[in-house]
Amino acid sequence: MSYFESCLHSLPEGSDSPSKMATVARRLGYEGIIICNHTGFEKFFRPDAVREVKGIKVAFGIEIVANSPRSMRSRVASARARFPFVSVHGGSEETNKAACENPEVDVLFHPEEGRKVLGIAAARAARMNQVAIGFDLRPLIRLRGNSRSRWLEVVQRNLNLVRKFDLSMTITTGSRSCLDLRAPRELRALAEIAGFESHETEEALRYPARVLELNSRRWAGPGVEIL
Amino acid sequence: MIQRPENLTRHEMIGLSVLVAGSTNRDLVGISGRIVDETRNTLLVETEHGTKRIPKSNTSLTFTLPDGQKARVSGSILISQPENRINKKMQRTRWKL
Repeated sequence: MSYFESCLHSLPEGSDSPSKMATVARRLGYEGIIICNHTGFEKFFRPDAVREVKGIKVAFGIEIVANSPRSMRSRVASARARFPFVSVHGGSEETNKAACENPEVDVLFHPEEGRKVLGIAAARAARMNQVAIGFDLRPLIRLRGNSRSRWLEVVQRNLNLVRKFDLSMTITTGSRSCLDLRAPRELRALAEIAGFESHETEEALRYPARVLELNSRRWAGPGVEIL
Repeated sequence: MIQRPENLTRHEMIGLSVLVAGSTNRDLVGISGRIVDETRNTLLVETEHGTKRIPKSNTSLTFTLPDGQKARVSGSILISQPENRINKKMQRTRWKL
């Protein structure tokens, strides 16, 4: 199956430890999870305890939150060597564009947070630099009424851009607790409500595993792998 | 200039030993030998069973550098006339095979 949940927040940002998250995710049918806290590796709560959870792959990534594109670039550069999965928390137009223009970034999460559509220039840059767009479906569950319909509208427009430029995408629940985790089947159903096609959700759930596998190999340059 | 995996795609290919690691044409997979000539779209490889012409597109090639280091290259990024390849603008992505 190789379904991965790609943007989970564990203690101290969430309310559960990585090992608890891994145990629940395994029960739900995931092959692996990626813990993407906003802070660095040293602040993860007992990362070694995860090794005791058998039957599921757990990777520690980072979700970079930055106020300006400049600080985002420097944080990405320093995080790239330490983490197998580097994502950026989008929002403002400048941050979204800077993340898409950086080939070191794997996934741009929450590009719709500033209620602005991604933009054609950013989408084109994401295509060029192989930056995937991450759709967090938590607002679909949490929001109600007008705010949810506004969110759906922005997501739909982003989705059209993703299809137009043939970008990779990934979906997540952005859980901060093991109780927020959804099974892949539920995620697929939610994504279809938000306008995703079934083959797109299938691919989006598999994408993080592919990124982790590619990042674990040694690359001398684009298309050149050192054996 | 010393050949390294970093500058392999911009370097002279003639004289390097190569192995076709993957291709959409299954008959080409496994061909190995020394490169004796290069055109824009193909490589001419001297093998035990004669010289073979291998297309660069849709092929994954494993090069062995003079120092014994091995590097796998996606053939599509080599598509260019050899004399112009040094100036070719590469994509800035980390991986693309």
